[in-house]
Amino acid sequence: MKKTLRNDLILIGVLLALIIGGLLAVLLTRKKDNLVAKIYVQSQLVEEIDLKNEPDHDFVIQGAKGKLTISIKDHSIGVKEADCPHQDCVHMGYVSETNRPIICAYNQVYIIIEGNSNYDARIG
Amino acid sequence: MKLKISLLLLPLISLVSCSVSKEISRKSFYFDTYVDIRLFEGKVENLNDINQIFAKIDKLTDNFTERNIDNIYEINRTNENVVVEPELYDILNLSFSSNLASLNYFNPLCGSLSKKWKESHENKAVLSESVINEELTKMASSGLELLGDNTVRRTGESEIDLGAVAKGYALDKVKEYLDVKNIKKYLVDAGSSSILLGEKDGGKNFIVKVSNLPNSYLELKNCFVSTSSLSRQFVEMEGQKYSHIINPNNGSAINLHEAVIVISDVGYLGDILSTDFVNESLDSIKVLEQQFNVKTIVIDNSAITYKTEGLEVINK
Amino acid sequence: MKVQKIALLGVLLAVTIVIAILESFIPSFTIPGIKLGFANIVILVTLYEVGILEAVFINVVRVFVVSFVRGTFMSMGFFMSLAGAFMSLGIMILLVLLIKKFSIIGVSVLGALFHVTGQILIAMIYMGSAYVVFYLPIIALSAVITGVIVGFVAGAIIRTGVIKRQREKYNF
Repeated sequence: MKKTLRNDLILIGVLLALIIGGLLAVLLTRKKDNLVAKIYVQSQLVEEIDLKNEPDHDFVIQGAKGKLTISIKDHSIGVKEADCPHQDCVHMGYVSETNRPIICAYNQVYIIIEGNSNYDARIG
Repeated sequence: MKLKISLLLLPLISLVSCSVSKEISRKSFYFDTYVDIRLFEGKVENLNDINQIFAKIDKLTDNFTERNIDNIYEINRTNENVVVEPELYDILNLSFSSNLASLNYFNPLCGSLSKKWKESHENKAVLSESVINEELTKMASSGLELLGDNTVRRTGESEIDLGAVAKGYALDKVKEYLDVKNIKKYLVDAGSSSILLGEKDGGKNFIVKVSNLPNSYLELKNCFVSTSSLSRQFVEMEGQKYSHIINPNNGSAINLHEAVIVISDVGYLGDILSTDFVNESLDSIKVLEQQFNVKTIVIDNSAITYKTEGLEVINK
Repeated sequence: MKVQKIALLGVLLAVTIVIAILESFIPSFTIPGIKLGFANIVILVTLYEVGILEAVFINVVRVFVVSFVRGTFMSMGFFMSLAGAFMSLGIMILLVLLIKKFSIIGVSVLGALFHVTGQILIAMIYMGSAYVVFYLPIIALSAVITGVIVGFVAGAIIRTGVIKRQREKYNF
């Protein structure tokens, strides 16, 4: 086997190992209960939503350059509409677990979901 | 060469395993809801054993399907003697016990009436007076004979419904198991309506959020928390909220209180009391909670209308 | 510069711009602005078959032109592409000139990785948030995969000798 090709394979092997490690780290530290969604506009926290209890509804927030319609549905959060050219944030759909931020770069908005460390269980 | 790769993987693996916590948990589906078993000590086989407990009680108390075992469904099909599993005999014994005579709004013979209400809810209709009265009459002439040797015999036509006690009873059995295994740190949540609390790390309390109230929490450990509430399962018809809890005296599906939370040392009892209290007057509740040694929170219009003295509800 | 060379660079530039514009319509499922990277096929071919300066030139001009066409000039996406382009060019030039240990596939993979790294760093600075790093593994995986494909395609193009023959014929 040509030396450069061998090096390529080693490189790809190492990279894949690192990537798998990274994926595992991201996947295994996910939380799915007692979730709180935090909406940041230009690094400022503008909304905090308890996803476990919040009923389905939509609301509008002001981003850096336009408005975004945020939608809460079935204990998940998503961007329904956005004033931005690429609509990447809308394409992301609804998120209901941690480690998957929704980003609207044009408006400098990001939505992250955190496992709520506030309480251990909910009654009712 | 291979050494280099494995050296690279080692820090990766340790990074990944460090980020996973010491809690072992499992979410399963029993009693038509999600049961979340969280153990902060112990092994996976403990989770398996607990699943078995839930699976068995679920089968036994299922009033809707044949389950290849003599469960409540079978008992409700006949007026002959039926030999049942000891757990089912136990639940029936407890549900029909004379201890509960002082409860005005608990009757395990509500099964048929409950089913009729469920049907009418699905059709967005209210049960007619005549149907209700018919069922109430049947209930009055029905009963359960406990004949010993795990043998029971239903009398009359009304079905027995163990929905109000199944989860609590299952949690009692789970607690017995955990005690035997000397596991003290756990939280077992059955559908957010019946919760078994052990302790947290360092003997600390668990923080339990009260859904029916804004920003309100309870700090508890080593107890059972049960709730009966309108919040999730209700049907709104003609401006009234119809619940899944039936008043066995007048057959109505409209409850007196919006929600009741009972904190007890015994699971099945907490369940039964939370079902009963949802229709009891505040004066009765004050008496009954003393008799049964439980603590209560009564909620109406998203606010506390009664709370046992000494029970702390924290606002954050 | 010889006319033929200008013509060749023109063609290469045009191809990379077209590919990049097409790619820009594919939505990113993670961080906005992360692109697939097939436009790099042309950059690699240019790097190996024409020259380093030419590859840098084509890559940078491409970033600007695409941003004009898509209307994203001076946006976060524009700076992400620019940073990505510089970082990937940097590593690829280093590999081709000094660290001659990898074939074109290895160079392509590392180029792709450095490209997305540059993009993610800009995204992190722009958003003021480290949370975007959650997407790094999946983006890196995509980079490795496209890197391999791009390397193969670029290698195949180089093996056809089209550009080599053009250079020998017109001596540039």
